Amino acid sequence: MIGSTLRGRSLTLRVVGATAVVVALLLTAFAVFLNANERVRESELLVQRSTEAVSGAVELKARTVQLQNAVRALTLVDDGAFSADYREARRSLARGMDELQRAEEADGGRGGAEEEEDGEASIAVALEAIRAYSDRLAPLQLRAVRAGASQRREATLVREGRRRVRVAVGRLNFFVDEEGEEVAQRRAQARASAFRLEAVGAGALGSSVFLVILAALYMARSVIGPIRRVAEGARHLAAGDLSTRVPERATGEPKQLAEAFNAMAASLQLSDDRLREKHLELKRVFSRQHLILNSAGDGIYGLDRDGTIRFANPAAGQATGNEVDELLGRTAHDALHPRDEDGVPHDVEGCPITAALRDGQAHQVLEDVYERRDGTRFPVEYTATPIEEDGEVSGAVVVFKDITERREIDRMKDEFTSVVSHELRTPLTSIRGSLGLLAGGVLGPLPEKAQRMLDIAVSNTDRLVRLINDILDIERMESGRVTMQRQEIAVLEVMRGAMESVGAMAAGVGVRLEVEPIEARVWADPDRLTQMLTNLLSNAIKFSPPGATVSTTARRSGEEILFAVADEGRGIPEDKLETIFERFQQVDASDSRDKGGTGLGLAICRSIVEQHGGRIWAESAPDEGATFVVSLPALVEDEPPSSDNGTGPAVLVCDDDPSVRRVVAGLLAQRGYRTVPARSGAEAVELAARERPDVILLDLLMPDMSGWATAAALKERPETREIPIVVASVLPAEEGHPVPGTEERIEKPFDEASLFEALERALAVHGDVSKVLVVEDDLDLGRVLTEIFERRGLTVAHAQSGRAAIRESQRLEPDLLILDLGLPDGDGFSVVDWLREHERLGAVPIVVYTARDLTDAERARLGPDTDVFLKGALSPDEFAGRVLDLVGRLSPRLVEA
Amino acid sequence: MAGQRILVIDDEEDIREVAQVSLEAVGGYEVLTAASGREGLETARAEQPDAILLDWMMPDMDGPATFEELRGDATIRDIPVVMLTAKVQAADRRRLAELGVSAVLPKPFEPMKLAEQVADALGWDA
Repeated sequence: MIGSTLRGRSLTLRVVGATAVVVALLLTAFAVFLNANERVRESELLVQRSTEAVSGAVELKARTVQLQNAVRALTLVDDGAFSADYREARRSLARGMDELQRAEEADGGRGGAEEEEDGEASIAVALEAIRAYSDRLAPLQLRAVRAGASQRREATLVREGRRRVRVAVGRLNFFVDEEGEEVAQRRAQARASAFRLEAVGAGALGSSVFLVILAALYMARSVIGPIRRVAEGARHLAAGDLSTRVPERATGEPKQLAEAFNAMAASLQLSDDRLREKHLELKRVFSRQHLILNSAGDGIYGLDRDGTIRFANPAAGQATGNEVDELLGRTAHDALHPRDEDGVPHDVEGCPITAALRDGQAHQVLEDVYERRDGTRFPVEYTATPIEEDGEVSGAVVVFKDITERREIDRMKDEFTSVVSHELRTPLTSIRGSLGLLAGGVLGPLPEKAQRMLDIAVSNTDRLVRLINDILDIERMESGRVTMQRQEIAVLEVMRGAMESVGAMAAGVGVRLEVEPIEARVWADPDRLTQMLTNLLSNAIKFSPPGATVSTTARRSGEEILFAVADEGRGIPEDKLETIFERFQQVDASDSRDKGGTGLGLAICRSIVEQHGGRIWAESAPDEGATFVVSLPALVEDEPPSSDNGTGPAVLVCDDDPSVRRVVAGLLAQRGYRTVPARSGAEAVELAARERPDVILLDLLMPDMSGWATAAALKERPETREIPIVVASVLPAEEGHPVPGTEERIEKPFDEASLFEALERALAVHGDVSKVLVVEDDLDLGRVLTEIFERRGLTVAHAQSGRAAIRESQRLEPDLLILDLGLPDGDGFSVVDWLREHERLGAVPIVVYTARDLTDAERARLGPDTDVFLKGALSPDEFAGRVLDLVGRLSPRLVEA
Repeated sequence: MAGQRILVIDDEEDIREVAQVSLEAVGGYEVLTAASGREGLETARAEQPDAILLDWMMPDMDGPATFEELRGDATIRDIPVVMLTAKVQAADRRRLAELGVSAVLPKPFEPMKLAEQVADALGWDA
């Protein structure tokens, strides 16, 4: 563990170790240095002490000598001065000895023991000797001298003294020498120490430097090297070479770094490989998708949320004459949807593509038009499907198909059918015609057998004709190319129509017909519905024995109307109840021949019924007759009843479109008009005759009886002839064929204002005329006219000038104006002009008379609504008569009065 | 009414013949024929028949075109026209009605009934 720890942390350890070593080294060096330094100082101190001791000894020597001298001097001359010197010398010697003694004592533990003892001993001896001399011998000597001691004594003393001094001095000299030697020694030692110190210092420094260099090298090798290698490896990695690996040579942390790097590189490589794989897969998928899209025959383009084309397949480009790039970045509306014929730009808001993007639902458009780059257009069928991402619509995909071909094919099929139908029928016409004539005996009687043969021929020709009709019929219906012209029709009418067409047939075989209709309406194609009922009826009749009854009923069942045709024939077995509705199916094979059926009748019925969203089925049991039931969705009766609330004029609204009737009724009710709705021309004529409305609003394009026919019919009948008619049609007035007998015309879709203007104008012309304004400057003529009108019970006002006329018309509000154009100052024309400008009075009919012919300009100025006739050479009565005629034409009520 | 003159315009000879026999023998009418729209117009102008039986599908100038020309010509505008056609679609009939055709009879027609149908359509007493 330690080993691995060591290994693991070896670098740190090594670094620490190396640092420790260096530090230790430095510390040792320092210690040594300190030590050496200490030694040197010691030495210095010793040297200093020695020097001091030496100087002390020398001084002592000097002082001893000095004392000796003093003593001698004193012995020679006992003088006070010399005594003082002697005392001084003695004192200073004592001092010196103390000092030296002290110095010696203080200086303990120095140098070698022997030398020490020698030195010390010397000093001690010296000191003793000196002391002996100073303390004993010297004073003795003196006393001896003083005391007059013998010379011998004195000499002994002197001799002793001198001996002592000699010893002292000798010893001191010895000491000094010794000391000197020692000092020299010491000095040498000190030098040696200093030298050692320098050596150690240099060594330590050197080795430190060496170690640092070593460490640096080591670092360079063990740390920086790996780091550099890793950095280099990283660079290679970054450059893209994911196989880069770094040698894991080092130990410890650098190795860890290298290992970590390698691991990272390996991981990166793995990720990269995986990425490449995914990328490849994606490419494969994409290219497959691309292939699909490119191979798709339909144009496919993708839009983003704003409707900008982000993607388009080649087919889309091709179909629209664009390069795919040219489509990108533009909106679908811009690039593909053309303006319509009037130059109105494509309705973006109402576009199903916009809707798909908005409401997240797919929208299919069966017929639309796209515009190619070169401006040409082609019909398309397309589906816009929204793309959802995270629950939000992020765009849409539109798949479209150029249906020019399909349309062409459909058209060709239609044409073919049409042509075939014509081509088949043409020879059949001749065949049937000629055979029919022969069989009819038109060209003379025939022998029985011949007659019989011809009868066969004729009946089979008929059958062939029916067959062709049925086949073409069912073919057209089932291919969806027949559009049902659906409208509101009364059940009653359909049933009656069917009954009528089979009436003769029924009578011919002695079958009774019963019908029980109801008041109900369905939204259906009347011809087809009648055809279907007729079919069912003729079947019923065919399969009924003579004397039987075929009943046709209708009843309401919830939201449906159920028609039932019931016969008392031999019935249909249960297993055939379904199959009889199929083509060329008969209950019994022999039926075809016997009954002359085509085998398609019921199939056609079913086709018709299904196209109306209904159902058809048969209920029967053998020998119990059969009932064929047809159910169709009922139409909710929401026609507003003719409103009697209004006090205003009654308007007969004739239009086959129920919504138009509803809307108009609403508008009329608002202004207090009464509405009398009529669903068809025929109904209109009937109602008009019955209700005598004040004005008729007439649609032109109606089935069965068109507006023109209705107008003609209305004008023909005296009861309805005079009722003014306002024509309302999508056909513009200039182009649409004029409707004789009508004055007013408005274009659908019309706005409220136009409607009421027209109605009021129509009403005004033919309303009650009770107030007449006569504008005539000739007083007599004016009076005559006034009288004539008053006799008729009219209120009359007479104005003699233009100004008066204007004033009067405002006051009276006449229903009719009679005006002499020959008013002075051309006033006549100005009155007309003024009236025309007037809002209300502009509608008043004007009868104008003039003494002279009018120029075209003048006639034009008067306008087409003004009746003009020549005063000319008429007598007042004749004139009045003419006027009355005119007035009478304009107002039937007046005539009656 | 017997004695009325009817002009039959149809490009098929057989049909003209059958129609003629039918109208003459059964209806007692006097029948004129024309093999094309153009010829028919000429004949109409020249002969002023009481009614015209007009085929729809004809080459060159078809029924509706002929009818239009007819209406455009004041001299023959008021001659009632009965259209003969295999087209029995309601839409087509409506279109014809709006054009002003008096009636539409389907082809093939019933030879024995043709005269009656024409009389009915034109409001003649049969």
